[in-house]
Amino acid sequence: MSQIFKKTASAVLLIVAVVLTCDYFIKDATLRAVANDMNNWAVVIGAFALGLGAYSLTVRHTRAIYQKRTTWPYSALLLGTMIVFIGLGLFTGSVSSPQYNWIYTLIVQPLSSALYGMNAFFIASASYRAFRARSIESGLLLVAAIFLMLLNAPIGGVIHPILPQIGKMIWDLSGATGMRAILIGIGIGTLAIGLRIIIGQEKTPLGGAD
Amino acid sequence: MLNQGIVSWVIITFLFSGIMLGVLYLSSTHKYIPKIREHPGIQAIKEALGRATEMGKPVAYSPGTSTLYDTKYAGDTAAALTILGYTARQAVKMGSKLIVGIAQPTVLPVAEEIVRQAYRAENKPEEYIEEETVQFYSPNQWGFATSYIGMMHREKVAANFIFGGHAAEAMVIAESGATIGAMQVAGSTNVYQLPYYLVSCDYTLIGEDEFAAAAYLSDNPTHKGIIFGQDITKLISAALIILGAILATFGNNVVKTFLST
Repeated sequence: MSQIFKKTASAVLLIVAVVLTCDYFIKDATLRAVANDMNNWAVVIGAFALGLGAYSLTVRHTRAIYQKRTTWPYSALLLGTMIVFIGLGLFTGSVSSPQYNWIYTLIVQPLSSALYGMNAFFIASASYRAFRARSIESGLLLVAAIFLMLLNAPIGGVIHPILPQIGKMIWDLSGATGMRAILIGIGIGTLAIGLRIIIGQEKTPLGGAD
Repeated sequence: MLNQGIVSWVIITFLFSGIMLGVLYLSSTHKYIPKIREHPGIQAIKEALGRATEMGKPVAYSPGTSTLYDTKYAGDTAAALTILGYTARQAVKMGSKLIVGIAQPTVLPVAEEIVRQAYRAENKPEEYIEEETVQFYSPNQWGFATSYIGMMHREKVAANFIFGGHAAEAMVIAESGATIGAMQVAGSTNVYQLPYYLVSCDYTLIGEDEFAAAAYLSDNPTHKGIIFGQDITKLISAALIILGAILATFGNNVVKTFLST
């Protein structure tokens, strides 16, 4: 990337960052309109970038088919599906047409739901590893987790009314305070990285090293 | 003039920004360069890369499923891309194969340029394979997750780095990485995903650790100054909380009133 391009990109980045920051704090109709336009530009650029993604996918999977890699049937299926989706969108003129929605509702959504459901099994296997009381810390984690499970599961209150109360106390005191401390740190960290980008010390979003 | 209810936000933002910029100025002019110990997370990144090199297996990297203009996780993505620059350079230096999985098309050209630069910097540009070293998967979180998991299983990766903004797919990716025995280092500011990383990964950069690691790994030593600035602002925040709690205990709500102004 040429130095002129990098400097121009840094200047644009600075202007956009200042306008959007001011829009957050200052109540002004003109500023709001400019900020809205800038946000819309981001959406338009995102739409253009989707073409880059499609190109990258097509090249990689066409290469896999051409080189007869072991996974070439999947590559062919992916390219075929992509062509069907793009074709259907162009043919019906909308991504909200009944035909497009039909494929989306019957294929994409169930697959997504199935993957989301897999989280339950992964949580179980991860919990098994985490709750093996091999140290004082993991022992404490195990005890806290038992109380929190008894808080959320109806059986906790049936065993003894105090058990859910202990769980709630752990959640409200240790959990909430710990989470808030992390959130304050995240807020400060976000401010720091934002400042580094705005003043041009951080060149990563422009695709360049420092 | 100012939007309602954010006067304290304006004051705190400008105060904290001033402190950070001041420290950054002092470090960039070499008037005061704070000494910062190496973060254990960075040691874990080096260890994972070394392990992958010894095993002769590839390294997988995910900079998240968020964009660079996401209101909540843009900082994560930027930090993940900075860490990617370091990871890529180290992987190339050690001779490990690197595979970067991308979810967002807007992140794709940025990641490609960063990795390309890493290969060029190590005088191995011929080892960078277009569309293979940095692979675009899908902006859909589950589409990305399945592609990334598939890649990890096929390539039998020895190290997996999960940074940037991830949502529910974080658990599936991290646990799949653990299943194949990869050494995993993760980082996130998503507090809902952190517990999953903590149980599935070998090392987790919690919250702002990810930003601090990005600043630490930056080639520019003055960037480390901002970590010191962050620490000062954190101390001020903690002092404000303690002061507010003490005053509120004695019936004085001045800090609370200021923060809600």
